[in-house]
Formats: sequence, C-alpha cells, structure tokens
Amino acid sequence: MNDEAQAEDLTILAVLENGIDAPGGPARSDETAEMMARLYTEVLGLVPYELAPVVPAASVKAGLMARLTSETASDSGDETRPAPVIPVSAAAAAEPVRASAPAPAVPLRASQEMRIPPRMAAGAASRPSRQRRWPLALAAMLAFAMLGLSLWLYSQVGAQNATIASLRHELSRERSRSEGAIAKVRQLENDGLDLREKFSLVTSPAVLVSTMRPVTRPGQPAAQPDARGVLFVAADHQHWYMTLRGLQPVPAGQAYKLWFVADTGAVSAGSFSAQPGAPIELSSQHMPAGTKGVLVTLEADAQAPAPSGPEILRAAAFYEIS
Amino acid sequence: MNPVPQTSAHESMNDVALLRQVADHQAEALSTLYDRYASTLLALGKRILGSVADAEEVLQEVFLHVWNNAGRYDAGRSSVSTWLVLITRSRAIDRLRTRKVVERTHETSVQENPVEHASPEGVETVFINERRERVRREMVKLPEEQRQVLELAFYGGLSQSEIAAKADLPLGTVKTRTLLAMKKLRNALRDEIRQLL
Repeated sequence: MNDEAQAEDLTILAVLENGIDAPGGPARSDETAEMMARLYTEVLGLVPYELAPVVPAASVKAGLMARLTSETASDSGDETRPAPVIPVSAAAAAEPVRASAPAPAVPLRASQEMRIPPRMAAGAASRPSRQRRWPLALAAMLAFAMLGLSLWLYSQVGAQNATIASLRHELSRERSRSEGAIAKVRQLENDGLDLREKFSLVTSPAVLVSTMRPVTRPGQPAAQPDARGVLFVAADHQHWYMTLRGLQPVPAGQAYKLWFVADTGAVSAGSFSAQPGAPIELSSQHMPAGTKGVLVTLEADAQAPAPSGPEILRAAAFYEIS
Repeated sequence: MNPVPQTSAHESMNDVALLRQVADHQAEALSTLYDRYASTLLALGKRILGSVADAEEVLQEVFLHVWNNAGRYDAGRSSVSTWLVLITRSRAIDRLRTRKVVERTHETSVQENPVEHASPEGVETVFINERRERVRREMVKLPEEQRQVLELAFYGGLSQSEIAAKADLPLGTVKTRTLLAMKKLRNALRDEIRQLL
C-alpha cells in the first residue's frame, strides 16, 4: 500500500471514530489531506439521510423555543450582576467618612473648671486656669475643624457616588448603543452578501429572465392588474432571484405563495406577505428539477400543499440574456 | 435593499447564512434550521437510541448547543447539515454509552415506523428530499457485510476493534470492509458532496 492510500485509510478511520473532531495526523498535515478529511466527513454527514425522516412532536420545538427564550433572558440579566468594584479614588474619598465618628470628647474637668466661682479663683490661681483654657479652645477648634472636614468629605463622597451612578448609566446606554450598531453592521454585511449574490446571478452569462404578469381568465379581469415581477434563473437552473411589485397587502389569515410547476406538479417555494408600495425580493439556491413554470397564488392557508387560491402572477416565457 | 418578508427570507436562506443569524441569537433563524433538519436528526437519534422520546431530548440538546455555539461553526471543516448530523450522532452515542445498552440498538438496519413524514414546505426541503432519495439508493447498493460494519461504526459508535469482537471477525477484515464502504459512498455521492462543500 502506498503512503497516499495509507493516509486516506487512516483519515477515513479517524473521521469515522471521531467525527468532526478527527484528530490531526494525516487529516491535518496538508491541504490535500484536509480536503480528504472534509470529503469523508461529508460522507458521514450524508449517511443518516438513508433513514425515513421522523417528524418530532410539536411540543419538542415549543419546548426548545421556550428554553431559548429563558436562556436569552438569563443572558440579558447582566444588569443584575454584582456591581463593579468601586474605583480607588472613590474608596479613598470614602475613607474620611470614618473620621466623622465622634470627635475626641472634651475633658469634663474643663467645663467643671469653667464653673468655679470667681472668689475661689483668686490670686495666683487665676493664671494656671487661663493656662489650662487654651488647650481646651484648641481642642474645640480641632473638633469643629474635623466636623467641618467630615461634612465636606461626606458631601464629596455623595457627589462621587452620583458621578459613578451617572457614568454607569451612560456606560450601559453606550453598550446597548454599540450592540445595536454591531447588529446593524452585521445586518448590512448580510445584505451586502445577499446583494452581491443577486448581482452576480443577474449578470451571470446565460441567465434566463422571465416577466411575471397578472393572470387573466377569459371574460374576467385580473385579480391584481398592477402586480408585476421579474424572475432571473442562473445557468445552473438552481439559483434564482425574483423581484415583485404592486402586490396588494394580504388580507388577514391569508398568504401569497410561490410555486414552481414541474411535470410532477406544483412545489411550494414558500409563502410571503406584501406591504403597500414596498417591492418584494425572493431568492434561493435551489429550484426543483424540471421546473417549467412559476406561479404566485393567494392562499387562505399558508401551509396549502398545492395551489388552490386565485392565481395572481404567472411567469411568461423565459428569455436568455447572453 | 428592501427587506425580504421574514418567513420567506428565512425559508430561502442557505444554511450558513441562517447559522450566522443564529450566532446573533435570532430565534427565527434557528426555527427555520430546525424545520429543515429536525426530522432527519430525529430519525438519526431514534436509530441510535431506539427510542423517539430519548431522541427528542437529544434533538433539543443539539439545537440548544447550536444556539449557544453557532459562532464556533467552522465552514472549512464541514457543511452545516453535516455539523448538525455529527453533533446529533455524538450526543446520541454518549447517551447510549451512559445507558450501557449498546448491543440492543445497532444490530439491524430495519427502520421502525417508516415514513412518518409531513415535512415543512419550501424548496430547501424539496432539495433535502432529493438528497434523501439519492443516499438511500446508494446505501442499498452497498454489499451487506460492508453496510453492516458501517452501521456498527456510525450508528453504534463502535471502534473497529469493538466491531471485530462483536461480529467475530478479524480486525483487518473489519477495516477493509469499512474502508471499502466509505470509499464507495464517497464516489457514489460525489455530486451531493460537491453541493455541500
């Protein structure tokens, strides 16, 4: 067995045992080996299509969607997370608040001495008393100063807290605004990709074009005479793009349905609605084999398996634009 | 560009574009992806686990995993449909191993309750049905002994050595049969694979 065949065999066995997480080795050593691993991964991915499909109960999807909603709700609960640590400056500002605790008490003796009758404080005794008074005055001044400082710091802390709350609010607003902008950019990217695909389809060689015209019956006017459309089908007869105008808004409970008509019958390509004055664009990468006609009907049931409502638009002959 | 009506836009959207929207947590995109593949994945889960109820739980787990990990999908390694299939297979086999009833479920390829199929509408679904027909046609063409080892490996999650022990065959024979089956499928399903790349 040569090296290449041996590498292929090892790749197959690795893919089979490990699925998409097949380890490196031969499967990741170079581009050819990577492609080989990819090919056999896709073979595995096709195997279950041999099984008869089993439609899950509606409750499975309902349960799933409910779980998604609850997970999303819990994800968006970031706001309830613990508040961020207070910045150092705020903490430092908060520190002196503790200084507003009771100031050192003024010694009781001082006030008692203040009440000494003048006659008892005569002579030489009056001098020491005046000497003891100045530390008391200093202590009182300090107490007042500390009280003032505490009040000032307390007000500063309050102002800082208000600033922090305001910044937090602004941050959350900016965050939601940036998330909105990111979502918008992603949407634009998707639209851009979509537009590029459509442009390349419309301008591709050998594209087939057909106009969609209102369906009329002998003796009856068209249901929607102002409706028009253009259908582009790529040369591979798979990719298609359709633009429709002038369709009236759908009555409540009804839906427009697009059908591809082949020898085997009409195949639904999906349902859609219309807004007044807004053009409608539809596209897909797949068109059933043997499609010969395209039809838009107005159906009372969006799940209708075959066209049963009034025909609104029908594709005329196809023209090739080379 | 004017917006395409939501329902139609998602129905017509390809898998990668849908998954991109799932990564942005757009539930409708996940719903469309679910409608497109749930019946195939449930059939796979049921085939591995032998029980619809268990398979439905796995199906929910798989789509929750997709919801939370869509951003990690690597288009270079597999198509979206294959990614979904392999996640389902892996989850179901894990559950099977936990139950320790491997032997019960992968001995036969007989399909229970065939064709309970009321598929969601849409061109993508028609396309998937065509794929189903082609795969069935090619799987039936595989010789029985090759098909058997492939099923034991794929649906049973057995290693080559485990298959050899279970089928009482030399390991070399098991490997040869497995490799032949995979190579035949690769050639026979060339067109399908090309569409997935």
